[in-house]
Amino acid sequence: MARFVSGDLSEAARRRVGRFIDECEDCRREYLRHREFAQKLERSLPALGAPRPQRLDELWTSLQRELQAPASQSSWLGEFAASNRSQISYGLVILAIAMALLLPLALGFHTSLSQVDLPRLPQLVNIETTPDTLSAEAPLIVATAQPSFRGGAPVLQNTPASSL
Amino acid sequence: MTEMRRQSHAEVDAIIERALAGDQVGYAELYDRFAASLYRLCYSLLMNEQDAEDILQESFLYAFKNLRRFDSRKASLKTWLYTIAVSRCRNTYRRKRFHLVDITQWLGLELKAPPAEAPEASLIRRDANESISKALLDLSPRLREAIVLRYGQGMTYREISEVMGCPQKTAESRVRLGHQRLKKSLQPVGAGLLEELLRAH
Repeated sequence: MARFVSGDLSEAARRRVGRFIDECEDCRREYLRHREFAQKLERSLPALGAPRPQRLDELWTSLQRELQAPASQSSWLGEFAASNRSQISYGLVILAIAMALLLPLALGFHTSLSQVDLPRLPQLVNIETTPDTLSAEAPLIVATAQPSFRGGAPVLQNTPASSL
Repeated sequence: MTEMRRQSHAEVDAIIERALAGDQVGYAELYDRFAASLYRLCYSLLMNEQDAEDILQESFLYAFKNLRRFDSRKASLKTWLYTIAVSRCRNTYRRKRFHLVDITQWLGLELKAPPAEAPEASLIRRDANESISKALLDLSPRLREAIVLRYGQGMTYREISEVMGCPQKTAESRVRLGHQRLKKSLQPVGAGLLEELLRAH
């Protein structure tokens, strides 16, 4: 029925449906309802959103300004932005999310570096003899600095002098 | 193609030639000829004054800057302009998928009732306007485009298929489906509301 009303049918099909509508009272009523609705749409929809002439004039004035503006890099950029607005906005959102994720890492980067335990170089320390009160087997204690992977002060160890 | 339509195309072609030759009046004539219907198209698809105005301007700006690329043997200027506008409308409702409601409608700013109109008549008109706008917005964007181009702009199925970028059969079935859905959604509120809208205009 809808195709008959909107004229989508072939000539032969149209003739067949037309004959059918003439013979069937219910079909005829349905056809008239359908046609009436289509006619109402044809009359009501063009009236929807009729612009004010004054507003159209204002838009023309601003359009003229845009047209007379010298063609520059910004104009094609503007045109690109206008035609790809949705893609650009999606891109900006993704960029913002990426920045939000990376920002804490970037800010904490130096702090985290300083927290990494780096091996320290051995340091020179004074070698002192131990007091005479120690036993004869170990008359001399030497303090040496050992590299430490845990950071902080070098670990001092007692090493017999004979092993140096 | 009817004789009247052919004549109209020839007139438009002549204006385009003048505009391309540097005649500024030519551009103004093209704008005057198509601006109102293009605005109505955009408004009917988006139901938002500001968006419709933006797209109207963007479409004309693009069309005028690319007028040399327009080939009247492939399509009419009207079809070309509508294609540009519909493509921009699609971008807009993709962007605003979840809030396609005109704030001016909520505030009642778009209802320009004549001063002598009784409050009751104004209310009925507002109801009718809202019903048809809502029924259109309830349609999927493709069905809405088909309905607006067919019934709002009086385009042929061939023109609709060119503007929507789909085969003619698809355009026909979209109009048919849109018609059925609109009928279904408008009939419960009564054909009387639609009648009121017609009377108001």
